[in-house]
Amino acid sequence: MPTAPLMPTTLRPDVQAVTTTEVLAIEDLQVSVHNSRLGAVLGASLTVARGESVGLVGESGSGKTLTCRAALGVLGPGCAIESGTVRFAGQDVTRLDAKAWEAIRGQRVGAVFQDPTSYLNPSITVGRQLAEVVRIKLGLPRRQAKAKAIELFEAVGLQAKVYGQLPVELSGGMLQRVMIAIAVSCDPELLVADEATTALDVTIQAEIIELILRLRDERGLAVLFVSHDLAVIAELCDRVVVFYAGEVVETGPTAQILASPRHPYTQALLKVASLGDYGRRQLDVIPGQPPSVGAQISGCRFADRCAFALDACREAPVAVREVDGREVRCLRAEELAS
Amino acid sequence: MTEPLLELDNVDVVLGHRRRAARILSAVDLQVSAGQIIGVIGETGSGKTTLARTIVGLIEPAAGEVRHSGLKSVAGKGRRDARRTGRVQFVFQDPLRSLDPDLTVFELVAEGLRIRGGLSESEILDRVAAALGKVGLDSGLLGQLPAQISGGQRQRVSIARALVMDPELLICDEPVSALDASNRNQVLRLLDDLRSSLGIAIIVISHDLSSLAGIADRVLVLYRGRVVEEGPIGEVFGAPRHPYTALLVASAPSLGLHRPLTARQLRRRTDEPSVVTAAGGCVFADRCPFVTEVCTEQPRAVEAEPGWHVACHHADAWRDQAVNR
Repeated sequence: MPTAPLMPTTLRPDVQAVTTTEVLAIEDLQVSVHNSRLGAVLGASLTVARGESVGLVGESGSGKTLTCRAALGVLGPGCAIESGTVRFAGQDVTRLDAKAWEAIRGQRVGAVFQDPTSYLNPSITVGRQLAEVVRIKLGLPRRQAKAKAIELFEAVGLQAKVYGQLPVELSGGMLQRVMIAIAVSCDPELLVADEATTALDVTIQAEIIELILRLRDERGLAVLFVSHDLAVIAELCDRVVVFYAGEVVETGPTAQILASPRHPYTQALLKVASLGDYGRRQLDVIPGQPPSVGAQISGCRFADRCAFALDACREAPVAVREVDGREVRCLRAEELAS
Repeated sequence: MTEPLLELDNVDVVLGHRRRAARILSAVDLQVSAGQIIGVIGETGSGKTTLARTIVGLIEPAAGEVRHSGLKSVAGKGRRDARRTGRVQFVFQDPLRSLDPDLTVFELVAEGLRIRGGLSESEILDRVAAALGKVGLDSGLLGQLPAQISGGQRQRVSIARALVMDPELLICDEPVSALDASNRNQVLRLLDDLRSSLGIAIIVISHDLSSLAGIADRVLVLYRGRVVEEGPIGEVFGAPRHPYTALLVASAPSLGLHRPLTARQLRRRTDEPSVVTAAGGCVFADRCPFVTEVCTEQPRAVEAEPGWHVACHHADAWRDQAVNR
């Protein structure tokens, strides 16, 4: 079976020198899936600094979750990093083995995902599950581990009595707080949250977002947050990284991107996000479908769905450029200022 | 005004027996007419799925009445007949779980027709192709399995499966919760088109305000089994009269810049005094920052404006307090 080679993506200008506050730096990451060389992430670059929250946004299959999993060293079976680097606090972790990851994941990097029930043991109280993490990762004796666990529960807004309760006795929002308590138990430098609020009730979602913001501010936590909804990202992230079909198409400060997106795909995402306008109206959609994983496209990967595409867009890969204080992968970024 | 297709009149639902009996819905009124989209919004445990199951006849109400009198084919008959003839159809939340993974798109959509019987194989094929056309799916997908198509396409298959039965009323339980923002809008637009082109009535049930945005005419806000507010969706979410609706609106992420009240102003702080509400008190009392002694009694739903009902003792007063919090 012929396999598509990965797209060449050495077009990005050199990344700036590493600053001291940089916690996570992903550079030109390429991830393949299905045990092949089919590229699902085609050269993603991003950084997250101490005390900063960065949001990855894009449609299903855009590569945002794979990028996140590569950053955690937990790519699924059949997936592999083909090229590029992932640096954590200055250390290259791209090719780290499982044992070496153990010292980082859970201790220096915490993670929260969409469905908390699938990560907790249903037959053990949530307090014991948290205390176990604290005992193993921090090496605390049992009694101190319990005290630390209760302290952590209180830090995430849970009452101490939750310690003795089973997952089934807690609501979805409380379970997500338990997951966050576990994720931050070892005082990590980075918290990765992949669709962590998507399944929650809106009132609970708002509380969890507030909690993550508070932890970011109080502990100087770096946060990498993934969501398909730009409105959620807007609530919580300092900077936004927009993914489309495996590539980063626009990166910049949230306020700037919301006020004047420079990539047509970002503009389209803004129109389909929740606008807080509930009256009857014609809803915007992004026409067409994204290309399938591994599709070989000579030019811009968004061109077929783009209302502004020119012949030049389809001829050669489009490089990321700096335009108006942000990085954009579009030939017409200057013209698209709104 | 046309006769409603479906009417719920003062419906109570009790699930479980004897000591384990729990009242899930209390005094719920609902009306939906042809060509109308009604949104039902509620959190986990609010009773929204029980409401859907009651409407389609899977649950018998303990009190009150469910009338399908407006349904053409079953005028004068009971709820169960409405379900059997397929005039009321259900679309489930997660098509990956609700669609049989071993059946092709064709078999999935044809299933209801086969159960109802009386059609030849070529008639079934025609109707399935027509239903796929209505939801904007290519007939090339007929031989695919659910796992081979995208999430947005799967939800369209679920809708086609309902439409093939030629329903007058569609009940959609979280139809877009599993989809990303672009696919969400495509499916919502499809529902909006269907009510215009086919004149069917649709009830959309969701925990997420953005799942109703742009398409619903009216909204019903459910909290712990009671309708706390009900009215035209733009007005209700634009200037809520119930503190719970206001909390929902303030909590929903949105790019709209203007937010008159924040979630923080509408949430009760743990240090604020609470009023002990025995059974029979306002359902929202233990989360409400504006609670007073009168809230120990369940407020009646009052028509604040024509077609806009709210069940709150302080419907006129809480907003001024909230602004100063």
